[in-house]
Amino acid sequence: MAPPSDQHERPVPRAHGGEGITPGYPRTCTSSISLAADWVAASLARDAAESWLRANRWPPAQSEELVLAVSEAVSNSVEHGYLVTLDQVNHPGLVTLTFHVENLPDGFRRVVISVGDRGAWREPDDGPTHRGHGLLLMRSATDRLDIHKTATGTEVHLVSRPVPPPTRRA
Amino acid sequence: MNVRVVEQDVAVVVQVDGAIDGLTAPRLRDALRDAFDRLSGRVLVIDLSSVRFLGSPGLRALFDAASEGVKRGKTAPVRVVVDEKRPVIRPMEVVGLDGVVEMYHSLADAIVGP
Repeated sequence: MAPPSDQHERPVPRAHGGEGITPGYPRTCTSSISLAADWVAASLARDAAESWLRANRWPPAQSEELVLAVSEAVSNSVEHGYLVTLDQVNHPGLVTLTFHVENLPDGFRRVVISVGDRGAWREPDDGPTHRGHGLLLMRSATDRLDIHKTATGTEVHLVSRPVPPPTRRA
Repeated sequence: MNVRVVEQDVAVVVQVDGAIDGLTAPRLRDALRDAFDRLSGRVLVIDLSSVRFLGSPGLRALFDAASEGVKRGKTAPVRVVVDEKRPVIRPMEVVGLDGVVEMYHSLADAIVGP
């Protein structure tokens, strides 16, 4: 599976379930990073998300929640997708994050962050995992949370609530 | 994340700073277990005022501490200190942790109690 790019992200109906990502809005500020699947990945992903959101002057309160959502999604990939143990540092798997700003027709913007892995997806309520809370945190941080399971892995799309353009004056 | 357990006259305080995520939560769990062992009738205070990130593994550790407090019967509810930082308070509210521990805005208040 190629890493997600903005071309691939458009209206394409997914092979497996989900309503698909909302199509067609122009995307800018795209940035992408791949992290080795270990337990430090969530912390690196938080740093990357924080820098990118700050660079795009995203409102701090929403940024904090999105950073949390990213951290939870990456943790899921590492812990449940790749089943990496806490002391394992050389897992061959990658977690790929892609950040976009979507420019909506009314001038508002929103952030779409994709977190992809090539591991297996297991249902959130299978046993005593942290994932119940993780999903709850991801949902509360976003306008929409889409989880696409494919034959090769899982892709989580975090779509933020829209915010006004940074330069707009009242 | 750094964590240490400090014994005071009426409380055992678990002081945490930094980020609590899947990597660091196991050390928080160890410290909480240690604190419970040293409690002997005192109140447990978890000071999160220097924590800048709290994810689901940390929340789970705090839930478990809250249940452990209840299980020990006579122990007062676990007290948690948070300042105004949203990255800590918000996740606690989202998962309902603020309903099962007592929340305080300063360590002094938490030690005194309700």
